[in-house]
Amino acid sequence: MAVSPDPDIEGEVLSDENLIARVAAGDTRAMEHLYTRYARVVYGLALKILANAELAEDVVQETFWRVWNRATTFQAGSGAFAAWLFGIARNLCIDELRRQQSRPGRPGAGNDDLALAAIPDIQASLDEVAWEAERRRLITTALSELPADQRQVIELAYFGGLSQREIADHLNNPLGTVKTRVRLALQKLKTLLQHQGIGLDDR
Amino acid sequence: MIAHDHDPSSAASQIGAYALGALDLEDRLTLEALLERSPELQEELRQLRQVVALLPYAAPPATPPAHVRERLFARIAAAKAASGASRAAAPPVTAAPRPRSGWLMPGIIAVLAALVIALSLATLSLSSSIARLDASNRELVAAMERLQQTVAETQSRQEQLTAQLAAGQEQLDALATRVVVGEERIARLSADLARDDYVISFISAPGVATRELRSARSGVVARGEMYMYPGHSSAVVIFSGLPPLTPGQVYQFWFADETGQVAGKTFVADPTGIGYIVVEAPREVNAFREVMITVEPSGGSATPSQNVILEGAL
Repeated sequence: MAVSPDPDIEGEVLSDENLIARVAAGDTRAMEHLYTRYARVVYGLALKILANAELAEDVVQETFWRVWNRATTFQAGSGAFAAWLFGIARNLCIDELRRQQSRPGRPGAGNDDLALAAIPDIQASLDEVAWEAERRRLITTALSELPADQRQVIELAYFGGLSQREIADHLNNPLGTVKTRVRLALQKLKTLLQHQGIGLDDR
Repeated sequence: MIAHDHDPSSAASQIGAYALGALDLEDRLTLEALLERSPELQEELRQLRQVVALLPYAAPPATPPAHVRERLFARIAAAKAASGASRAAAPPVTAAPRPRSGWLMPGIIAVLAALVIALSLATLSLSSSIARLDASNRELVAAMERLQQTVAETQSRQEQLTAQLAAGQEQLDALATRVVVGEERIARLSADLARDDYVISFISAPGVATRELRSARSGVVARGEMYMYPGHSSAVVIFSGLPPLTPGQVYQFWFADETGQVAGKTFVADPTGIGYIVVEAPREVNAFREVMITVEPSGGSATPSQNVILEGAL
């Protein structure tokens, strides 16, 4: 975990739900822990979707700003925190992506921006990096076991922000086919992950 | 195809696309209506959302620049400072709103969506207001700090002036003391001058008579001159060569007639042995037959000692 002088947090790996409950009570330190835990993943997601470091930074900041402001609306029993958090980040990315697509004259900076990124935040702990690496290994392994056409619709839907109908148009495939691929892909991913022993719960 | 999609079992099959955020609006509304009534479907959605929540890890995680964290937490700190009380009064986590109940028509959904957009805009506006308030607060704090610095500098200057004033007052007091001392010296010099004038006028006035006082002891070269007016009690005696006295001794002037000696004033001579005294006899000077100067203990004596220095006949 990130270094923290707070005796209530330091030395204790708190669950996401515990931390977000503290954030809802105005605990900035709990917010810092959530940022340390998830900012790298949110930034990586935003970079993949937007391919622009500056816009990705904005998404990271806005995502966690919304977490801070909406912490009291998080329903612990209805879904995991990570799903909620990544949902916010992805929606922001897709909204930005669509804004960019509506303004074709604006060139994207592309991944070259990464070379110009400012000094990186060094507060991510080894625990967090190890947690990310394990999750990344699990999901990439599971994705690699999907048929290519199923992996493609997942890619277009999640990272491309396309609806099933838009995917069908994009691939020039029947909508029903796309729906079937999406359904099968998700079910298979779920099964593969469960077989790898991952619990589909928040930590 | 659309009729097929509105079939509940077909709609349920879209739960994966719903979790993925890939459902078109119409399919989404249908599925959400179904979700309201199906706990099993809700549980399936919960699990699929966990699957989808792993997809971000497929993108290589990257560390955002440090300024992202700094700006975020500066923004949070500013918002917290601006509305700490209202946030403290926010409802607890467990008081989150319940899931929607009943059937929601698409129109209502659209209205709600519009409200959500409006609220988002309001949130953005509020964020902007908070940022402006934060900037304003920072300016006020900076102005207050400048004012405090000015006050501190003024206080420091005032303390310096007070110290200078105290030092000046001490110098003024010292000068006043010197003035008093000078005035006292002037008064003494004026008194001496007045006495000198008196003596000069006394001894130079017409009709003055003089009598010589001679040394009464061998080896002592002292002498004196007494100026007097017959019929008057005042006289001036000018002397020289009076030997130095030991501590505790004074000279004393005496008048003498047939009945005895009358004590006059006591005095000390300066180191040169030269000086004068003005003496007052108990009656006219020419009523006495002799005068003399003796050495006596400090304070004078009622009868003269045998240590006579000068003597003279009137």
